[in-house]
Amino acid sequence: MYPATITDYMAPTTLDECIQLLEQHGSQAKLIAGGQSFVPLLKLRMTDTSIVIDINRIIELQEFGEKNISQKRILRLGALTKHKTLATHPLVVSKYPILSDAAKFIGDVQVRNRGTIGGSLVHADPAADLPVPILVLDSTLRIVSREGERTVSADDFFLGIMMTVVEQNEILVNIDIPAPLPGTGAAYYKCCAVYGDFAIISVGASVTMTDDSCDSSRIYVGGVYPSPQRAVQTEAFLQGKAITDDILQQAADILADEIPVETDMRATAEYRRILLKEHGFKVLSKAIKRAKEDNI
Amino acid sequence: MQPIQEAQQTVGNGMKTIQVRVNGKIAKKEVPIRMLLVDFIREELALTGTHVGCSVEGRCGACTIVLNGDAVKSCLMLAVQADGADIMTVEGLGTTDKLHPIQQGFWEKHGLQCGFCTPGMMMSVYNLLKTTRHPSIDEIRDALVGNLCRCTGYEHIIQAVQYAADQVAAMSKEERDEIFSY
Ligand SMILES: Cc1cc2nc3c(=O)[nH]c(=O)nc-3n(C[C@H](O)[C@H](O)[C@H](O)COP(=O)(O)OP(=O)(O)OC[C@H]3O[C@@H](n4cnc5c(N)ncnc54)[C@H](O)[C@@H]3O)c2cc1C
Ligand code: FES
Ligand code: FES
Repeated sequence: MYPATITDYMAPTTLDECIQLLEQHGSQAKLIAGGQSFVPLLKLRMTDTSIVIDINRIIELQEFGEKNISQKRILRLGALTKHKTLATHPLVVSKYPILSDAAKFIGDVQVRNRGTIGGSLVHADPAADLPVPILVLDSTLRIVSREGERTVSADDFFLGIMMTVVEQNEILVNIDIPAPLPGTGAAYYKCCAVYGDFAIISVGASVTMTDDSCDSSRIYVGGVYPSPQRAVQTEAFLQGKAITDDILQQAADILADEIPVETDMRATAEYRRILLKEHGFKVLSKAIKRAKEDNI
Repeated sequence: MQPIQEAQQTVGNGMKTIQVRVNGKIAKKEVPIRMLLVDFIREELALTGTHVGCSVEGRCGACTIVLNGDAVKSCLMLAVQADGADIMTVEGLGTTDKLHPIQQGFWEKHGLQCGFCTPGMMMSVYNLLKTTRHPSIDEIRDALVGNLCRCTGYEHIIQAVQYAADQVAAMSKEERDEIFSY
């Protein structure tokens, strides 16, 4: 399949140039990052794009690493950070393993070699992998346009199926993730029909422990509509409890009850609930195991 | 290898001039912006070893090439995005007189039947063996998730990769650098 005619293509090297181009060309212009979601849309002619702005050469979108921002330690991921980097970089694997849990099973090697976190988050497929850990880790997203910049918390970023707060004239620049508190562990798992497919259901959790007791947690479920859902009742249940397998089993039951699941082309609602219960337990156990390793 | 220059010329009328190096040879051409990289490689450069096996979503991997050192699907890129890139296609792997160890492996272990998936498979194997000396079966399977084969059932492909990996491991560093120069 061939994309429809595209009249112009630009590859700006600075953020300033890019936002000027966005302003100048209005809704005809679309950004391309890894192209792993956008090129299929072009081929299907499901987007009326006559001008393509390639953001891959913009330096400001390529930051990667830990830094201190107003005395807080954060991991900064430029929007162009590739799935491959999240899956394999030693800093991510050792200190933010929930991100590599999620990135490792995105599509396949070729997709991970080109796909970017910015593209995945802005595309906002309800079954995508990266939105869940970004929510679990309580991240902050920086968005820039000609009018200026704003920061949005991950909880306010997703508006619906393939919809986010990023407007046509805006660009997502980076994602800041607070370094984990001592005694914190986080994990992610997706259930899918075949290896590397989109999620039927996915679970991500971060748990902060003091000895055997849970101080707080953040739990999100992906592969549900319209975007990942927070499991507030499960979090409330766990808070302050001494963690045993029995408690985690009860938590997984609450989780499977509280998250509204639907039947779609990938699975029935019933099947999703079964998966949620089983994998909710496993993900919580893994997050707690990591939290305890961190405590030692 | 020396990096090559981008052409970065707008011709107008939905066309652009790009410059790429494919299998060591520089090509400078005027292309429609909407042209996919795979169509550029097949139709403009007449390198038809790179195949097209799916229409939209980019699942089959038959179009896999090595772009600036990474295996990517050339049906999920516009040709204009490759301006200034170094590309290897299956034609760049070896010659009939001197097969690349990857080709030798597919030959020895019958890693193909119809051969449609083979060029893309080999590009993904290249991506794996460039950095992994003794891949486990799981690592080989993981490297080939993005390449579908309708014929072999994969077992012989895995054996082909193991054969190639053994050959590569037995080489000197200089020999290895020469056959993994992309
Ligand atoms: C075969 C295959 C399998 C896949 N499997 C999975 C999977 O299992 N799990 C999963 O999560 N994903 C999967 N994906 C999708 C993949 O993760 C994509 O990489 C990702 O969704 C989009 O990132 P991208 O960089 O390719 O963005 P693009 O496709 O370039 O862009 C996507 C959208 O985001 C916009 N955009 C991109 N960057 C920015 C920015 N910085 N600011 C503002 N807007 C921006 C673009 O305009 C476009 O609308 C798969 C894709 C393929 C082809
Ligand atoms: S042609 Fe199928 S992945 Fe490119
Ligand atoms: S050999 Fe026929 S598709 Fe792989």
